[in-house]
Amino acid sequence: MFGKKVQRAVACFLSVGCFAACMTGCNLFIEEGEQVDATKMQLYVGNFNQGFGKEWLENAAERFTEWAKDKHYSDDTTGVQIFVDDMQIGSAVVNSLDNNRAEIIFNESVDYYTWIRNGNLVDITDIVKGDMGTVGESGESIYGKMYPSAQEFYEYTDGKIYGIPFHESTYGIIYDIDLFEKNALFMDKEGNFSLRSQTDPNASVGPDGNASTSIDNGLPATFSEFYALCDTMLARGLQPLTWTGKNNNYTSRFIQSMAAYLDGYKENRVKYDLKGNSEHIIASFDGNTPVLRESTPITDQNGYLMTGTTGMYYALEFFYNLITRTVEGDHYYNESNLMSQAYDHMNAQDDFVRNGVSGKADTAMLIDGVWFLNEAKGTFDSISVSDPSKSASVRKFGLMPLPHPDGWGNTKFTYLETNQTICGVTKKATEEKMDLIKDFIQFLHTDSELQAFTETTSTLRAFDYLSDYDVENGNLTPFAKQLVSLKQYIGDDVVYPISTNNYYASNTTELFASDTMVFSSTINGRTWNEPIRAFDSGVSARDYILGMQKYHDESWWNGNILS
Amino acid sequence: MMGKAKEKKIARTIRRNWKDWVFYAVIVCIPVVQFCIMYLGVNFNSLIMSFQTYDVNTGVFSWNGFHNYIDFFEMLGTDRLWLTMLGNSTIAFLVAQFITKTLAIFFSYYMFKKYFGYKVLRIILFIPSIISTLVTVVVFARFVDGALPALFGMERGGLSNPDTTFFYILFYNVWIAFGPSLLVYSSAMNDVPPAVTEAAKLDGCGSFREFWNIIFPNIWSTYVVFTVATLATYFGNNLNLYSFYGPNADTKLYTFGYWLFRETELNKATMDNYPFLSAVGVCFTMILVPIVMLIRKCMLKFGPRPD
Repeated sequence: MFGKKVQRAVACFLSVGCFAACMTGCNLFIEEGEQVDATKMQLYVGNFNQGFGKEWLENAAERFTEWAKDKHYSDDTTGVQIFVDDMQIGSAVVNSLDNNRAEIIFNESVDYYTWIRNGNLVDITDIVKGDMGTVGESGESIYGKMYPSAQEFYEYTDGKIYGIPFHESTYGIIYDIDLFEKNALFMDKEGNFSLRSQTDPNASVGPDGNASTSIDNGLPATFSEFYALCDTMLARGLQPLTWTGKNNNYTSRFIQSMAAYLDGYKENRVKYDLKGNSEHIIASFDGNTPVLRESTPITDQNGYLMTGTTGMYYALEFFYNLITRTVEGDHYYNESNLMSQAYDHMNAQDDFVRNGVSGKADTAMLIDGVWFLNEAKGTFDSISVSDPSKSASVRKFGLMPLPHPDGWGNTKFTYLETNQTICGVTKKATEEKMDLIKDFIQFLHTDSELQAFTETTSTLRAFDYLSDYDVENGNLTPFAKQLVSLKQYIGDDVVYPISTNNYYASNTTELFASDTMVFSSTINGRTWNEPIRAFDSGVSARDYILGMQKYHDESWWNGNILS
Repeated sequence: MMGKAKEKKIARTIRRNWKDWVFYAVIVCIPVVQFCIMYLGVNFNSLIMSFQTYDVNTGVFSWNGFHNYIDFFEMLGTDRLWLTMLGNSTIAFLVAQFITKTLAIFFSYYMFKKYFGYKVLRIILFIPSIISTLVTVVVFARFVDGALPALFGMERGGLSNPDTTFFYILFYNVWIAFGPSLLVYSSAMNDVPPAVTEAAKLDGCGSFREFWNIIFPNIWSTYVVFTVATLATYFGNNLNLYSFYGPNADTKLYTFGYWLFRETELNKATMDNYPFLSAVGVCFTMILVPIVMLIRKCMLKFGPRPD
């Protein structure tokens, strides 16, 4: 039908089209939005632009560009030009960083030791330990602002530093303080939910048993008190809880963080360092009460024993009750959202943030990460158009200090840092740019910039920069103020899941990062890997922790960790 | 002498039509190179890797004999998950073979006969296969877990209810599978000589009889091709579970394909699991190849013929 020439032309056209499509994927023909200014030195920064966004980095880059506008980082340039690129999560780019132009990265889900072994990161010891006099903090160093456990961890086996922490974040229960105040949901000393303020003189003392620390006053101290709070909320027409139905890792991470709190800082150090004595290992059960082993020395050979601790059991038990308890047939959450693929974390945030706006029953608490406020920015912006009192800068939220099991003594709240974050320099950084990179990274870690991060994102950086921070007069959202106060309250007891133990550091995916691996549990021949699924199917917390111990036994440890 | 004459003739032909040969070579070299690298190279490397082990600290592969294969067979005997995967993969294959294909053939026949609304039906059935899987998954999940409960007052959506999750996953896979097979079956049906169908019609042959005695035998070889292709993906079919759940699907839903993909994805930070997974892949291939060839041979030998 068509002549040979026409056929040939069509074939050529199709081939060129396919070739062009391939080259487009290699970014050869796409022009970048901002043009390169040859009179300035360029710096390419990759950022995992999700919950924490990129506004903080773009603002910081702008300030730095102004600061460095007269600097000559090479003979033929004056000033700098910083490109902030979006980047996929660390676990997705671990083997493809060569395809990315980023010279500095801010990312999470990064297995630090693996990245070093893969050659993804370059030595930045000089930047981290060097004096910050150039950026106005003479006598200070980034290293000096890192927590001791981070200082130890980020210094690799060769004595060099290849990365530093990025943000500090956790999963927990976020409560709507405005709603608590409006509905008088704070607990008094008699155990009644009748108060409108945590600072009320009659407020209960909270989980830590200390009336002088108002951060947890008026909040339930025990599991029973928490369930009673939820029952009260239902009676008053509120929905106690919501969380994403689609992303079960949120609830798994929450349980992981709660387990860390209940086990305590020292026990967690034993777990991650594989060194020291554990006091919390479950040997068996007497009904639903764990029977503990005697104090057990933990070594590289028996680290699997740390799977079944009382902290983990009671965290599972707590969540099991949240799933299964009902009041006259009503659960503490909307049952149609449980594991619903149509209800993701943004939907859950939306329901929580729209309290008083949506027309649905108000939701008192949200299980999410502490970045939720930044992530729900779009919702806040839209509802505050008609009612400015609903904006994120006015609404009061807080990360709830969690209750402890009934019969336990006073327990001071802490949390588990969950996101394996990093700030590092990649192989794409040339020697010519190292002075610029050093100045930029040190600039970002001045106290003012660290505080600016918190002011922009309402979350924390994993450095010591808040000791002298004036919380009340800082430019913080109420949620950020509460987070800062909470961090100041917890102090050095935040649990960082990092360790220089080689077996742990080489297997962080199996031992910490992969929630499905951590929570793998063999029950009656079936392997579960998400507690929420198992609980929904009728498995008890007791059976789940026993299944976890069965799955993570000595042969599993020898085959997966020691080999 | 005859050979030399033939060679001279070939050389003359090439010289005369050298432009055609150059064009042909340029067009064909890309898929050939791609085949050599992405198929031959990758599979050869997998085979070699199945006999190796990887040292995380040095980044070096070294000889490991048959240890990976031994580990695989030991795992088969101890982990009940393999039974789950065997069951789910088998169900997925049977659904694909006897439900999806059957429906595809009937829909194709409907369009071949140009019955009422066949053009609209063709578009509706083909659309899911040209839209990105991630989009169709999100739409499907929102419909099943969002719209259906709201419309019918269900307590929980089909995907969130553990008793019905697998059914809806299978339903999704049936729904999106029609596109390519519709095209091919329609094309094969159109190749049936019109004179044959006309004659059958004149003889009073009804639609079903026409389909069973004339159309189906004529498209039998196409049916065999699709059967072989479906069977060949027995161990690789992940039922789009990764699109639904990422690496976090319920173990109750696992298929062999999903398990393989998940193990590779979760461990891509280092390659220490790759040798073991390569051994698993080789074992799957060794099991499947003779079965596929036998079934193909039987179907071609004993299946209906156009004559």
